[in-house]
Amino acid sequence: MATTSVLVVEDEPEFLRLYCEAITREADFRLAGAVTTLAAALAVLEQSVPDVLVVDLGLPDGNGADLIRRAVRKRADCDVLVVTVFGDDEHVIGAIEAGATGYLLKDSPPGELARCIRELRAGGAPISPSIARRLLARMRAPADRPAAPQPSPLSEREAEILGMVAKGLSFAEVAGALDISAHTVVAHVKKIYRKLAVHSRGEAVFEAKQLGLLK
Amino acid sequence: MTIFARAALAALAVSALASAAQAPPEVIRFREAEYVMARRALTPPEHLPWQRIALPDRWRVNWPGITGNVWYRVAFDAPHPGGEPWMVYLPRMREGGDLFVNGRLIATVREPGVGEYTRWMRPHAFLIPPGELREGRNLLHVRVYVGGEEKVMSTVTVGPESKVRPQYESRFFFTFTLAQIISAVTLTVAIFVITVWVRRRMELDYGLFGLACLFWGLHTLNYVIESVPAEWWLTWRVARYLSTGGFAAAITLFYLRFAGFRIRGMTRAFAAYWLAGPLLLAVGGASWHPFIDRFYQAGLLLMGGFMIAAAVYAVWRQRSLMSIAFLACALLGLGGSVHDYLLSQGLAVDPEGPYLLYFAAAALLGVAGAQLVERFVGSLGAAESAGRERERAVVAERQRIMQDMHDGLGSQLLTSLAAVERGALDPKGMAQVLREAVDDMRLAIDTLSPGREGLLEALGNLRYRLEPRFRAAGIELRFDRRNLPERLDVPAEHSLQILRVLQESLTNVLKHARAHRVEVSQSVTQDRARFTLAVADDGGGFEPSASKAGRGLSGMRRRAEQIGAALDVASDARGTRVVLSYPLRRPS
Repeated sequence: MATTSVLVVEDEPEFLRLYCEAITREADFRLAGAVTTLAAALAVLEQSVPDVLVVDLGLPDGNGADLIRRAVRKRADCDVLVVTVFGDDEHVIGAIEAGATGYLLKDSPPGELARCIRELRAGGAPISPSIARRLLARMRAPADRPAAPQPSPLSEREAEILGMVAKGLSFAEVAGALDISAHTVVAHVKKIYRKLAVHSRGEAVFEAKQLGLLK
Repeated sequence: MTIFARAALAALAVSALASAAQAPPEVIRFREAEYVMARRALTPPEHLPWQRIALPDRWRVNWPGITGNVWYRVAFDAPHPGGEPWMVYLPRMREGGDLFVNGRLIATVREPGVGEYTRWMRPHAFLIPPGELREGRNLLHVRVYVGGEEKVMSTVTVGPESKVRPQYESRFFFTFTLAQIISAVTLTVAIFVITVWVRRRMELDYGLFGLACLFWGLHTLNYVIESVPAEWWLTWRVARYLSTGGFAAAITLFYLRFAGFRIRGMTRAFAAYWLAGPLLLAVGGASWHPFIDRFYQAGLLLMGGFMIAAAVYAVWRQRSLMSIAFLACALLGLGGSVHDYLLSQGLAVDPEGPYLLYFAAAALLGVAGAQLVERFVGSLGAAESAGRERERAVVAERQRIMQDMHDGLGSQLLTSLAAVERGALDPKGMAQVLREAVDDMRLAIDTLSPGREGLLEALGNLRYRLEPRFRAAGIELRFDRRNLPERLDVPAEHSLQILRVLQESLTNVLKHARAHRVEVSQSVTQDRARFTLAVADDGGGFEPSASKAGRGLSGMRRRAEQIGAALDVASDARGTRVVLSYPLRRPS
């Protein structure tokens, strides 16, 4: 069984230690690196991009979003998990726009990090009601061109799922209501994240991808 | 009495007699004259059939269908020549004419000539050259052309200049200078109000007031501009009806709206009538002029009737100073319009009286302006007090948050600090305390941060956050939402307390209940009056009288009380059920 390589970028030693332990504890995970600064992380990425990047957004020497963008550009299937302190939804949205597909609250129980990484690798993604609502609002009216008549990049099903999550329904409840599996629901959410990232990178790229010009 | 005294009295009496003999002659206002129709060049001779006629002479009545030069003559006695200069004064001489004294031309008032349309709104007065005045009987001839626009030959006043000039000047002021002033003032106000209205689209009333001022200013120009080139005559008349009708329509609409009449199509109907007359004249040409002058203007009087109806209604509804002033002005307005209409048609009323609508219009516009100012000042005040209200709300909110931090997180951390320092808290207990503190902060962020949707979203977030913990503890966490609307409008600080109660209940289940399942049901009663939140677990229950559980419970009760909600807790061996019932429509 292939191991999943994980790079941890976290400036607080206590959390860095906690995350490293959580990863080395799992037999199928491999710690590719543990760094405390953006510069160090970029240096690691120069060598190779891991399967999973766990990154704290509030790094002392720069914005985590740049790091995420770099990682995803170098390796499209790199899963980025953002760790965040409080309900700083704006930062989370920023990270998703940069290419993150998951986020973890810092006070989650110890087992959550591994569970979340597994969910990501399996094609799923977590989402909270307030993040869902913000995503929905953002996809409906792009901030840079609010007046332009632009079809939402979301499919009807995706918008429906976001709407239900925004109202506070769990994945299981959404799955039940739509008569699909919970796994399909989280897969949809991950697709939505990817779309937002592409969406924010510009219409040209998005359309090119839609037309199959870019892979 | 001495002889000297008698002599002195006699001297006084003589001097009194002497001064009576030299007294300045009275001013004569002729209300009767003799007339004859004759050639225009020279004063007609005595032997023609002069006939007596009362002044003012209404041509529409006395000379129907007749055109030609009419001579009027009056005779008056003048004092011996060489005294004070004498003056002739005609309050109205709209179409001009010639004045002769003793057969000599002393003045010509320009008549509407070829290529020019003239109508004098000002009165006329002329000094009689001293050499022309004879001692004893003098003859004054006035020649006018009957059959033009003018419908009246006015009275004639003759007398010493010092007596006549004030009459003339006062009339000049009221009929001419005042018109200039009114025109200038209303146009200035109109430009100001309309500019403000266009820049900031307030209610229609401001626009109507601006338009009324504009039209009245333009209408009044009619009394100021007395002569226009003939080729402009039709345009001039069209403009006149546009402005007169526009004023009537705008001011009537304004007052109808003031009185609370908002009938569908009202504005459009008025606008249609307003445009109909001028359009007919513009398209149909000059031949329509008499018809429109008579009937279109009469139709405008009907608007005054509407205004009075509105005013009576307004007074009946609310007996305020404003509504009574409005009724008075409406009566004045209609009275003035009827008077002016008759005057302009040469009918019924004193043909020499001044136009009255001036004053009525000024009063109407004044009351309308005062009403708008009152409303404007009122809305400024409302905006200010809303600003103050908002400020107070911000301060109150800040106060509440500070109080909350002090009572909640602050005291929790302080108590724990004391316990740690005493050595009474092990790492596990400490983790517990800190986690509770973090959880509480999360709730505050979820509910108090700007841009949050409200209670339902915050409930979803809480559940999203707690799910991993329940999963780790092997407890099934179920949320059941029944008949919940799209959103619930609950004040943020109330949401916070509701969530705290829920979080506390759920944390209790995690810590103590030894449960397999916990179900959170959220519902709204049929009449949408209450929001109910129930937390039911299948754990072992607890003894509410136990001191620790009791403290937790009393905290929850206190929170519920703060927001006017009811808290019901039932616990037995089969589980615990906590029900919070929150009133949605709060009596204010």
